[in-house]
Amino acid sequence: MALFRNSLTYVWLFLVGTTLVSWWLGATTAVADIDASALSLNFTVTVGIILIAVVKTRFVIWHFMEVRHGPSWLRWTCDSWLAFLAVMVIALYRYSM
Amino acid sequence: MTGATLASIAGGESRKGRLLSNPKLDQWICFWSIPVFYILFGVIFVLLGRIMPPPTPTMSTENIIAFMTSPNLSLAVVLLALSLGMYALNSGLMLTQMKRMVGVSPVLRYAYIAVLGVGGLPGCLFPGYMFALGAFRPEYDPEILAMLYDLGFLCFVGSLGCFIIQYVVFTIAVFLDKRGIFPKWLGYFSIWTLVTELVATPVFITQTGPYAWDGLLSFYQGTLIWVAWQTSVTICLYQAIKNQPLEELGLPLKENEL
Amino acid sequence: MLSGGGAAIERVPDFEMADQQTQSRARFPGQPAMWFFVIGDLWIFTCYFACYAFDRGQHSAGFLQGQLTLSQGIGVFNTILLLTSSLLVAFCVQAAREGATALARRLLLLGGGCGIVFLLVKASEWYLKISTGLPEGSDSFFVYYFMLTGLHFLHVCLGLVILALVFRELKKAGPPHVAFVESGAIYWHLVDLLWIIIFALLYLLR
Repeated sequence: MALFRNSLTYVWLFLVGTTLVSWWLGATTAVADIDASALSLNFTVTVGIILIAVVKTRFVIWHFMEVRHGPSWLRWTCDSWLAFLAVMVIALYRYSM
Repeated sequence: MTGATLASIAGGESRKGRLLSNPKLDQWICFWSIPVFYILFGVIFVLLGRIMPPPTPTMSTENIIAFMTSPNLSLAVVLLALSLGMYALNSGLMLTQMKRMVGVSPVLRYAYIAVLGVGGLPGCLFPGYMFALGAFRPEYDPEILAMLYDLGFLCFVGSLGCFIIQYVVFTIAVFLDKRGIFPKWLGYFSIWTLVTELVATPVFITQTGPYAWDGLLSFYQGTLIWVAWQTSVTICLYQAIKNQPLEELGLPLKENEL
Repeated sequence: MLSGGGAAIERVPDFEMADQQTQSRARFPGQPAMWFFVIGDLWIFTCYFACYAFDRGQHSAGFLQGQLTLSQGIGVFNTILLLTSSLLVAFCVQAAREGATALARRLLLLGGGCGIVFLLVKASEWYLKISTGLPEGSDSFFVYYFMLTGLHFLHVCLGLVILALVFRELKKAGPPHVAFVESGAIYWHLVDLLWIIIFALLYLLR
């Protein structure tokens, strides 16, 4: 069906792929098997996971919510919110470490 | 009195001197009681009582005694007991306007009124009476005062759940209303208020951090959204009364409304 | 949301506009009232995420310990479920624009079905968490866990109600009110994107 050979399907494949990548990045099972107390804060992994989540969110807003076709104020509002969210979460995490 | 003169009075052209003949006078009196009530509310809870913003749950016993036995607090409680009933005017006005909605079951507006009657008790009166006990008998054991302090604030902040159904029924009524008495965005706004009130539920198990009764999420965010919501509802209520056609009040139409 | 009154008047031009303006780029998706809600909701959740990020560093041991007891597999499964659901609802909007309402209804049902499965999985995850008991010292993590997933759960429930209303719209005779269908879909994507962030913060973060 023509409907499914459509750019949204590729967006979905990308989103599922990045979900799996971030799972691999943040996997706790291997660590937990050895020793639960060995698990500690890891800034690099955290930044990676947050950035992947932000990129995924941007794809949902852009392609599923169709903001990419929308007026420029809407695009700017969404993008600046997303940038603020990423910077704030990373900064607060770093600051309170 | 002929229809023409009545209509010209109602239209506001000859507003001065004929205020009493305004067919919406009852609604306007109720409407202007809302700002009066909220100014009193501010005086009672913020200026006199120091109940808002709330002091911390981990306050020392001496500070709790000082808070509970403050004479200003008992004055605030007396004012609260006298004026809380004014809220009923606001509710009556909301009911009047919700009655004008088309395609909305009357059950929703009855539920709205009923839940407001319930919510005000734990949210305002119970904490007031608990705080009043401190000034009434200052020789109470400090531990008892500390318990009344806890109980008062848990009622005050933790009662938010009593208002959830208010927002649910209001949201549904606004969305179902085919006549547009209130704008649709006000319905969405009520959903935020509902969400932020739900977040106050962990006050019963936390003493520090954002979920405590003086916390960023339990108190500040919920209160900020609630103040914005209450302001929006009041402005929309003003518009609704203003736009209500006179024919609904059993009066003849103005010429430009025909 | 339910501006049923205006629908009859707007319907025809709206439907034509959707076709004309997809090429001309500046086309407002959905109804303005829905965006008012979406943007406000995003900021409210931003407050929760900020508090979580801060508290997490303050009580890192308890948070990590609590996090270890979550099943990341269930989280990934739920994420993919919602992503698929979003895709189906996005297809539904495309079908509605082309006037293929029967196909749009079927896609919408599948999308809503994914949402219901999500709720069932979430509820059983909660049940398992509560019945096995929470590990010592991880209370503050679980306050956030239940709060964030609970609020999201409510959003999914509301989303299902909205999808049901969209379904009713698509069942009417004649071309559907496209802006209304779009608004419903935008809400559903909001539910999806909030989950993407909640999943990263609760299940994956280190």
